[in-house]
Amino acid sequence: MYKNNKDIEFIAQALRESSLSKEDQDDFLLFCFMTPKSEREPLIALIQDDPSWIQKLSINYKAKKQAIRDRNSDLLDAIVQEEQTMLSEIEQRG
Amino acid sequence: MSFERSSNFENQEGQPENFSEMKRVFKEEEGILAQFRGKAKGIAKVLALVSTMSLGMAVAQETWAGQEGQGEQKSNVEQIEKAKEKIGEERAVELLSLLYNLPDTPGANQAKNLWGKQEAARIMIKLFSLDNKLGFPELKAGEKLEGTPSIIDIKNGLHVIGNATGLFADKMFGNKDGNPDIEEMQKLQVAMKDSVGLQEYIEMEGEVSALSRNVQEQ
Repeated sequence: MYKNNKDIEFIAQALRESSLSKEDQDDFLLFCFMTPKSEREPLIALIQDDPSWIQKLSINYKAKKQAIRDRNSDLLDAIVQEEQTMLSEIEQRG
Repeated sequence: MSFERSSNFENQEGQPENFSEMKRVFKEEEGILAQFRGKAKGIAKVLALVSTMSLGMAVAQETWAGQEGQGEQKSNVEQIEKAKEKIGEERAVELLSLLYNLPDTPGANQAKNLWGKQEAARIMIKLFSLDNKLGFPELKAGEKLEGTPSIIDIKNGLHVIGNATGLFADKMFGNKDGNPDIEEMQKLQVAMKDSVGLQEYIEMEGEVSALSRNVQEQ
């Protein structure tokens, strides 16, 4: 449903409806602008399926950026560990 | 353009060296995420995209800013940072000039391209964040515009971007009379092909214009 230009519209709308701060909304919108159009599809599909993912992804994005900026591999390891746990639970739920 | 995880940035001349540990963790993440099936697989794909983009953007920014001859580039970065804090059309023209004049950097062109795109996106978003600091030119005093504040933000942003683009074309490619004409805009279109920063900016302007139209149609 959402292709090309409408991707950004959809994300912007989902961001406005989220409880993220304006700063975090802008930051995540920057991430979406920067993501090549050809690679936005899984992102759009996930948020369409469950808009609450925009908040989770924003937190994930911020944490990864922080870890990279600080060259903190322990933090990055912890993020990956958390992702693994979360995905295992989702997979088990089917 | 595509972000191939880490590989695009490996062995790039002048790249900050201490990303290796980050890349190692992301490589491990890639292996972990690839194991999932069903709904979790779709989510894993997005988490991997977030990692790729986070790393790509960080590497691009730091690589480009840290190149040889960084005096000129650093001052360019500082000028952009300074200009971003200011508001309005004049500053948007200044930002366009800086994007247009991003220096060529042997060995780091990809980083420069990504950095240019990132800055262009930031400018777009910054312009939309002006809220009430710019007046909406087609409205008379006391008149209200139907729609959400976000539509007004977008319209304000586009007004600034549109005017700034015209003034920039006049300044760079025209007779500098402050009145952009068709010939100057055509020259801008030609110049765009050689300027990554400008190209990204104009492409995003198109994307945002479409966004504005779509919002209005709803």
